Amino acid sequence: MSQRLAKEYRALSKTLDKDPEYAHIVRLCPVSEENLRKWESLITGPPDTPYFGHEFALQIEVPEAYPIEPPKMQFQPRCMPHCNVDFDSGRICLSVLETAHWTPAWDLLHVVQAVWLLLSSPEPDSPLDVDLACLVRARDLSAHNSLIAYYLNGGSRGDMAGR
Amino acid sequence: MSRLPKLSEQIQNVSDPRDFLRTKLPELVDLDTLLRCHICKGFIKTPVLTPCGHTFCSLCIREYLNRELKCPLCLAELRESMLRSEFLVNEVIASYVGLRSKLLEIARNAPDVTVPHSDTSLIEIAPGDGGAHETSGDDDDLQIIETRESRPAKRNAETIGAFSKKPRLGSEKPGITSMIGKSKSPALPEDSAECPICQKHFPLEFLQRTHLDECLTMGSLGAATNSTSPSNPVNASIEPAHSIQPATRHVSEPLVPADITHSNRYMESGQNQGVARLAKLNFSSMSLQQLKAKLTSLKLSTTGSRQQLINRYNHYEMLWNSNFMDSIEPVEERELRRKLASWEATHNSLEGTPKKGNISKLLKKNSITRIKDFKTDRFDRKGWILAHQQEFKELLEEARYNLAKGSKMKDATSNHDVSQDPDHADSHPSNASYEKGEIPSNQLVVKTEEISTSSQNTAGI
Repeated sequence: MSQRLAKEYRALSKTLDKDPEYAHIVRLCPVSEENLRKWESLITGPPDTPYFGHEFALQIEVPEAYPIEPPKMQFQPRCMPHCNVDFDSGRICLSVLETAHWTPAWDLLHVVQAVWLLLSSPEPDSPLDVDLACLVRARDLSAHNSLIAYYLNGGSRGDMAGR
Repeated sequence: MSRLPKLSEQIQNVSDPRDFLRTKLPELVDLDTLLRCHICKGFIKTPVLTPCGHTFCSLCIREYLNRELKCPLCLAELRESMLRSEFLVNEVIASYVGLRSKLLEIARNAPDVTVPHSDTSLIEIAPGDGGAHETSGDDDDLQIIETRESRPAKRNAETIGAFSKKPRLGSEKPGITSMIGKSKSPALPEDSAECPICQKHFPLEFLQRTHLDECLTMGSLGAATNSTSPSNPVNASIEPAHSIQPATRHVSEPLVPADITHSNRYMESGQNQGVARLAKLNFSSMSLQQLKAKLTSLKLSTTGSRQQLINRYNHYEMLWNSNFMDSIEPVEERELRRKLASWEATHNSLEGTPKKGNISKLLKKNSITRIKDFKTDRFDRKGWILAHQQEFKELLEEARYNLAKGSKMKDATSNHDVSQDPDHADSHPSNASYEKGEIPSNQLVVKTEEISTSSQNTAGI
């Protein structure tokens, strides 16, 4: 199915730079020219969120059975404080990334787009980061936002100990 | 298959709907997108319709339904038995694919098209472009409707003018008149050459750059486009996809038979009788012996672990049902076995297969590139033959030995074919439409696979 990946790559190289709708996706391309199975993406934080002004790298791994199976996608470890992202590993909890909810009609751009949208709409009911999820659930938006801003601006965060 | 050489080069050969974006006919982006499968992103091969009204490649959707029982687009419940083939869509896409490179060429160079003698088609397409090009690309749906509607009217340049005026008032008329003026002046004489496959004449550059590929693709999609007998051009009007034809009919004569074939093929299509659907098996209740017997009855290899045998049957079942249930022109069983072999080379690895000359093993010894090429039917067959002359010889020896032990006549004839020099094999009547040197190796691969299968069978029994 790497023919499909080649098609996606071609399509992306034609749309991504020109379409203002995807201005927040700085980059979405294979890591190296030889391997279409490993991709990386760089997205900017959505406006009106504490992520705004920062850039985040996504690591994408495309399984052999793609597009029947979903791609694997995660943030870089310890870079993304978000209630649906495991801070230490960068793992993302997002329904479209699960086999049960994935459909092959989606492509890598859709998924990156979905991850970007997740940044502005945290889903506290399936948290990977309990601290932030509690703040979202308590509707303490300012605490939630400033905590994230604190981490993003270099604030240290204890390892597993605190959680 | 994780490593691909020279990605940037590969990408160049990938067709994409947005190829039309910078041309004079950007609406074709939408049409081009619609004719593609949402699973593989390629043009739909052997389209099947779901009850929820969505269309996919037969193979793509069947593979997906092996995992999930829902429609990839709307998530409605879906089972393989609900799929229905769509012959019309098949022909529409085939005819579009055949025209695509030409369309692209025309759309790119609209003001000074150099397709020989195509004055008339120039008038008809160019004004449409001019107007559409200037309109905003936001209303894709609307534009597509316009192009569809405008097609029957293409003969009349003024009608088109009226159309394109809608989106962009004023400034249209000079455009049209200048277009007409330009096209009425004699077209530039262009170096043209005959396509070795379809025997049509094309400008040399176009032929080399795009047409040959398209022609080869069409050849493998369905040989009917090549082996066409000239038929009555009047029928063309029946098929909506060919409404561009009136323009080209008297102009580039050779196009007509190819296009007619699509509508004829559609008119003559019917449900394929006689070949039964392959059933899904309940493997948990089958012994290894039963499984092997089942594979043997389908002339498939019985080597490998139980899981590999199951994978092999499942994939073959999919190929079989897609071919005999959905395809407008089913291929022979041996072609299915060849497809299975190339699939196994990349997806169902046979570690430690004892049989020498097993096709998967042959493939494994080679670079990934080769395997990929093999899979996509684009690899260097001559080089392949040269590189594996020794293995093929051994296979032949092996097969002859088995034959001597008293095999059937059928094997004998196929073996005879293999032993022919590739250059003589194009006298093979049924394959006359193929390019010289193309089919022999193809057959060779099939035959060797058959031979290795049959030799395994005889050994196993």
